[in-house]
Amino acid sequence: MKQAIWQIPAILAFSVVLGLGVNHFRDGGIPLVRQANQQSATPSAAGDRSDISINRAARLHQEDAAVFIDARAESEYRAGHIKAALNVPWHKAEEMFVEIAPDIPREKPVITYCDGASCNSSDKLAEFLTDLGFEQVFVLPNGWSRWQEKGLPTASS
Amino acid sequence: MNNVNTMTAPNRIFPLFTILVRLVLGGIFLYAGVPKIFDPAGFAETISLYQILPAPWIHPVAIVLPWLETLLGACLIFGIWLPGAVVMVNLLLFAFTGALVFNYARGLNIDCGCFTGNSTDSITLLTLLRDLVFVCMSVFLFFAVRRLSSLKRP
Repeated sequence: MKQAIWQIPAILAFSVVLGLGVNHFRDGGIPLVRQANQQSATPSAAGDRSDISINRAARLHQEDAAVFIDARAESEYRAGHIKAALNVPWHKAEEMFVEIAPDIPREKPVITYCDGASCNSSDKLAEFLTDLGFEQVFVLPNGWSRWQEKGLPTASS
Repeated sequence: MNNVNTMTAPNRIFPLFTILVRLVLGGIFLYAGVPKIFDPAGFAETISLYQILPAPWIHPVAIVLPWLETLLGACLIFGIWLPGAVVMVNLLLFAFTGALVFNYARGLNIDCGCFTGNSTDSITLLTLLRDLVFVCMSVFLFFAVRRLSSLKRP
């Protein structure tokens, strides 16, 4: 087993060289340092509220297994939103929620989103919903931009 | 006298079983590593959702880790640099299992990201049990390789 002492750094070195080399020359390589807009708007989450990945959100959307709530302003929502998403702008959440609440089945996961890495209205809305007793509340960080980038179903009204 | 003929049944089975575990674990690592090589962005997102690594580490890990898994898988399958590969496989599996247990315990409902960069599988008790089986296999392999390499010494 003494050979492990030199084999481990050698395997690591091969991995680093291959990883960085291929990433540099390929199409679709990623930068070594994450861009600000790629970072999650929700750096920490615990308990029942969590970030959700775009892939998992897309699957739940396709299966109609989650309720999507757009936390952006009404004008932004009208210009374009995730298909079938409800609109509850964060600053109007308390007053709007009374009329929208019956449309949200309690057993379904709820996914909130807004747009941009610095946007935190979806986080606040998610906290608001969690406080109201919704058990599965997720945030889709930078949701609208990433949803469009993936070419997932959208609507405008 | 031919040594093979004097070997007891367990002694004959042990090397064969070790090879089998090596091939299975190597296949698992290849299966886990190769798809992530083709989707570094998706894998970076999965790592990010784990909320364990500091942000500056996420992309370097997303770039290098899939290659490390793939190389380790190849080492196990082809029997190259086995002592080093087996130690690394153990370290990685303990780290992966630790990360899964950590997030399962704190209730983060995120993608496992275990076998592809953009998986949609959540972390469940079944995921943890599956990883524990892999850990058992890798620990067995560690002791098996150590034993076999000590037998080879003059």
